[in-house]
Amino acid sequence: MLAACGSRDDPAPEPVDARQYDSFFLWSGVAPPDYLSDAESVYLLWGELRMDDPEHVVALRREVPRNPGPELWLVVRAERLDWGEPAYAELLAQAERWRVAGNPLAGVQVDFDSATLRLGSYARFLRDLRGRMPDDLKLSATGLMDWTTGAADDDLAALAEVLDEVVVQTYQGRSTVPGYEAYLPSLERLEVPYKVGLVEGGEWQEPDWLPGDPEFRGYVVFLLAP
Amino acid sequence: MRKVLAAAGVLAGLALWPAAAGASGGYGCVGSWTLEAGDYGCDSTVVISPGNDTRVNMLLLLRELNGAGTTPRDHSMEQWEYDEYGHSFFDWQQLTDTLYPVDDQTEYSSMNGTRCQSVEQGGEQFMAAVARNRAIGAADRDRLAEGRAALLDFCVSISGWSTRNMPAEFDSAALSRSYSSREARDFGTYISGAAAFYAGEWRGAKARFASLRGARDEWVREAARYMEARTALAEANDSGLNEWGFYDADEADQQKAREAGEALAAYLEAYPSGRFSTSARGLQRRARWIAGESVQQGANYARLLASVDAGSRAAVDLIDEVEGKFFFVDGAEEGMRGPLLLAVHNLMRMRSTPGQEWDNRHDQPLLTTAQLASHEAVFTDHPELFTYLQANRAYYIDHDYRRVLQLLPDDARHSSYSPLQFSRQMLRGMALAQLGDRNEVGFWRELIEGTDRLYQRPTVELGLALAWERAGQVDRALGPDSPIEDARVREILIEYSTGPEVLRSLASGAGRTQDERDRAAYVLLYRELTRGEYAAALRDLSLARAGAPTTNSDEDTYEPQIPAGVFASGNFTGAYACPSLRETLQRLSGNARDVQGRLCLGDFYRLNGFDQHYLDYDRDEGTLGSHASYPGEATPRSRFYSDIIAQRGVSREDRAYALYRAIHCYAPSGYSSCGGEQVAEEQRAAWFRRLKNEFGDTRWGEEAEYYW
Repeated sequence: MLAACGSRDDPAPEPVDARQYDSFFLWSGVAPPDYLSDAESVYLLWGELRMDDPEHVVALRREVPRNPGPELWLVVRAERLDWGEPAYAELLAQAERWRVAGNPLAGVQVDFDSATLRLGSYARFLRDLRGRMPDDLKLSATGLMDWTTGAADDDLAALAEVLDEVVVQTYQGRSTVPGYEAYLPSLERLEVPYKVGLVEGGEWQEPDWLPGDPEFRGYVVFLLAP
Repeated sequence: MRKVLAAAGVLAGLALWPAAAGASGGYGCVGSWTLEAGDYGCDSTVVISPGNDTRVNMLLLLRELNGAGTTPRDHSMEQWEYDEYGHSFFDWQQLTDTLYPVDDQTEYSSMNGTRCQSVEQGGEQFMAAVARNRAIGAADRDRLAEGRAALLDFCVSISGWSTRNMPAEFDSAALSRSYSSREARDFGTYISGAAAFYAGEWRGAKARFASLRGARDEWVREAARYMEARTALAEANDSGLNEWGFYDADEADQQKAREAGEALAAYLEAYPSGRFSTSARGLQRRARWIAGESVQQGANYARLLASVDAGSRAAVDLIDEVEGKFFFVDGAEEGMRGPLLLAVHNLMRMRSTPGQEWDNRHDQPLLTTAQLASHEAVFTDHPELFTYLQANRAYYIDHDYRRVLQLLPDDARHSSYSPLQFSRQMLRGMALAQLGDRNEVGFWRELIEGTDRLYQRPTVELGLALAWERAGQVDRALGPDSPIEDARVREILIEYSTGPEVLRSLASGAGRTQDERDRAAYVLLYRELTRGEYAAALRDLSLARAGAPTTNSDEDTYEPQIPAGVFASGNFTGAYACPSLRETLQRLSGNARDVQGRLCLGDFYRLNGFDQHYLDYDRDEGTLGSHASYPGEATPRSRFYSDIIAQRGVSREDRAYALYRAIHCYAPSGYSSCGGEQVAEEQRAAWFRRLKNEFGDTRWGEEAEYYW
């Protein structure tokens, strides 16, 4: 159902001030700010599987973190889903390596911009990946806002079944997607814990109903290079 | 972006967000389909310009100034890249892959980018040196080979790719300690040093390598001296890594970096043309970068850029290094030396929105005329490059197009063009276009003759296509004599800029490929249906090839395809009984307000994925496809339902179905997928109540359970 469109009494949306949040996503080229060590959880982009080579993950972050404090998520970005065996092995070895180095690793996050109408095959990919992962690691995925507005019930259910959480991106490039407030109500279709991904400095006005959604687990701020 | 839109189902009322809907490549990077390049984007062209990736401009100028040799005949790119970039646009990776093809057979090394990347080659050189040394017996040689093998295993295990548990550190028990000659012992000490180096034990590594300064074997002496310096550099580098594994230049120990620089200089002094001198010189530049002395390297980089072989991949590596370690460091503008670096830097400072790049590194003050003039002396030997810079400033900053024409005389009658000659003529053509010069088309046609087919020709074709499109002459662009060959350019014109006559002619056989004929038929029929040209559509229906695909991407390969087959053998009927599309069109061409005809056409749209069709989205202003269009406005299927709901004399069954479908337009998200204006939730609720109350006894009244 539709939430009320913002009335005139609403305060003007403020740009997202990263220091007001406690979970962050760090792209590989972005310097970790000093407050990052005090965060609750941090998603670190480690590598990407590119369109031109489904056999290997290209590592974007060579060095293993040395327990900087927060709970960590190892993020792999994918441009396609037909991974070769070496790619899975590389991902899982890296996760193991992070753990051996003493990091509190919560799990693996996959960042794949699945077309809404192909969420079913994405869910199958994730189920397969989950089957390969150690039981004590969680599986997360970034999500797009139009998944919940356009996807079929079955596909969303399949995603919910295999994922521990979804981080729904509300931005494109460096800005919040215009009209985000109209997409958000459909998040209630997600039957899985979700976080809302905000871009640092982007516009954000929390909808009234959001904190009360039982599956809502807070925010992840995607940090930008200064 | 097109195919992504078609597949992803973006909300009609919120169509501001197509690119993120499922960007299939890069980070939503696509060709911009305009020649304007005043802003940095993620696409570049072979026209040297402010908006290009600075590395692209460096490479084009390097090939201009150093003599590039030949260009390959074929592009090295994947199909999806071609779909998004065509051949007029590319990113840095695509350009370098094409110009400097890498052997596909190159073994993928998991140790690339780590200290261990040298362990395999180093091992081969090591064993070759062992074999050369006659003082080393077979048993010692075997022990040394075992030591190198253990070292390689260690590197593989720490490189993160192995699924085995990793050893915390190198097990030195794996190394033999007893050798029967001093020479063999020295080689053994070298392995211990290398093991310490790869394990990051700097003190141990340095001590072992230093102890080999008096080694008898001259390879060991030289390699150990080099490794001593390399260890110092690795230690300096390591000092910049924080607990996040992030290299923070501000944290790096600059004193250690200077010491590493001195050690490298000492090696080079002892071995000016030694086995590792090229590597050592590269490491020296890195040491200076860590030490915060990059700006002073301008003259050094200018020299290297002027001497590197433009036909070799080394040129690409050098440019990557210049870009990453020099061009954007703080204060680098003071360090620009030589015509190449200065030209690229000046162009960057002409970008119309400085500071818009992802990492904000490009936030430079706009280049003034006086600043540019002050650089003239650097370009004494390259006057055409200097006037080209002036012309870019005139074009992109002053918008003084007549000045561009003065600075860049017509020179479009060559049999080939160097990167700079080509860029000069392209900018001239763009100025002609800005001035609405009646010779613009003639100029492009002349220029096209001498271009290379790789990137230059498609770029001129784009200029020509834009000129014809602006002039309302798309028929010439797609006509039998048109020099426009680039499939992507033609495709965009067919999809967005072309009227019924040209489409019909292309679909009937004038199209140059099957793909083009199918596309023209598909676009023609789609436009005719949505514009209510039912009689014409009926006549043109046979243009849709029966064997053509019926989905917009291949089920297995995801390759995009043109679903012209839906008009011949798509899904015509769901729960509401509909005849073939042909019969529906017969009804509608007799009476465009025929109720069953409209309900069935609506179902045809719905069942064949035409909702939020990509052809209904406007092209970005100023890009190819935005200057002309098929006449008329599309009628969304939501209009069929709202009209039929309100129309007199409609059967109960049909009115109920119109209500049912109008309600379902909003399933499941609450946003209409049927086009048209979004109606308020109260209206949807009212439809639902009416369906249940007035038409509860019909099939549709019974089936409806919710509204959205």
